[in-house]
Amino acid sequence: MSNLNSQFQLMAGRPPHGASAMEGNFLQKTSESPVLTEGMIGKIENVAGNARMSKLTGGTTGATPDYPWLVIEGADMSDSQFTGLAANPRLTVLAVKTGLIFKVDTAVSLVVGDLVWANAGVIAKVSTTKQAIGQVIGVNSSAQWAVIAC
Amino acid sequence: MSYLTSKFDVLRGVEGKEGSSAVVWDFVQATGASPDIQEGTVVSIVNASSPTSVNRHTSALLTGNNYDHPWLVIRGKESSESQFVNKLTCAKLRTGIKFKIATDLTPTVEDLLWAAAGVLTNIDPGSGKPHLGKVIGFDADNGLMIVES
Repeated sequence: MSNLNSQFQLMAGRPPHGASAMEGNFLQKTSESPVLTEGMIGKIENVAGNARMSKLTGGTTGATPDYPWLVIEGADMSDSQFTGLAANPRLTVLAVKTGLIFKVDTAVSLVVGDLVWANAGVIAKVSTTKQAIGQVIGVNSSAQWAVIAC
Repeated sequence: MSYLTSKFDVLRGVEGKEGSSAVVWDFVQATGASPDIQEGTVVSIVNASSPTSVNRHTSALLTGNNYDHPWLVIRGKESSESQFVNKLTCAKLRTGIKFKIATDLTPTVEDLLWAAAGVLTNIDPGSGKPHLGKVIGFDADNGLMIVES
């Protein structure tokens, strides 16, 4: 959120103001490529007994529910690199589906009311039986951003 | 919440209340919504270009059998603030909110709740339609129920 060219903004839900979503910090999984940047959706992975974050690809509805996290400070940021390890930047994330609203850059064509899911960490439109992470409540197709509530 | 005669109150879950949890946002009332949407009504996003608007919600499964995304109006058209800014203030259900609301139902604690045309009901509409909350208290004398979502 602090990068000058950032196309991502958390609009509601981050504690303490507008408190809602649960916040956490996790090291990114080694060799994750591309790296997780703000606005991407991650998941916790067990790497040798340690919690590491990698990009989420949502499961199907009816299967085990996903536990998605929204990256709000990604591996491209100096804070993340400074507080993490050389190969494992520390990501700041918010638990999705616990009450938050964010604006994110997207190349996907979306309309208000669309459900969205995470495809390799990137927001995509639900068109099949993929588990949704949220619903679009605002779009600007010319500027290519969407506001998502989840 | 602002009227002396109001039978609706958010007990926990929104900003400014102890234990704030649910996310809150303002939306425009959908064109043609009649009567005007008041506090305590369950609404959902209407697929419209701009501005994003809401109308009364009926519980349903969405694309790919995903759950719906209901919101609870916590400041409706009966309030002067809402009329002045032409917005309804809504809290997203299922994100941590507890509220008290007048009802014609005679629910029992633990009843699950759905929405039918914006009104809470404990009658299961069937077909796997997702519930949006649970009754955790009922005052039969005053026709008030407490709901968690």
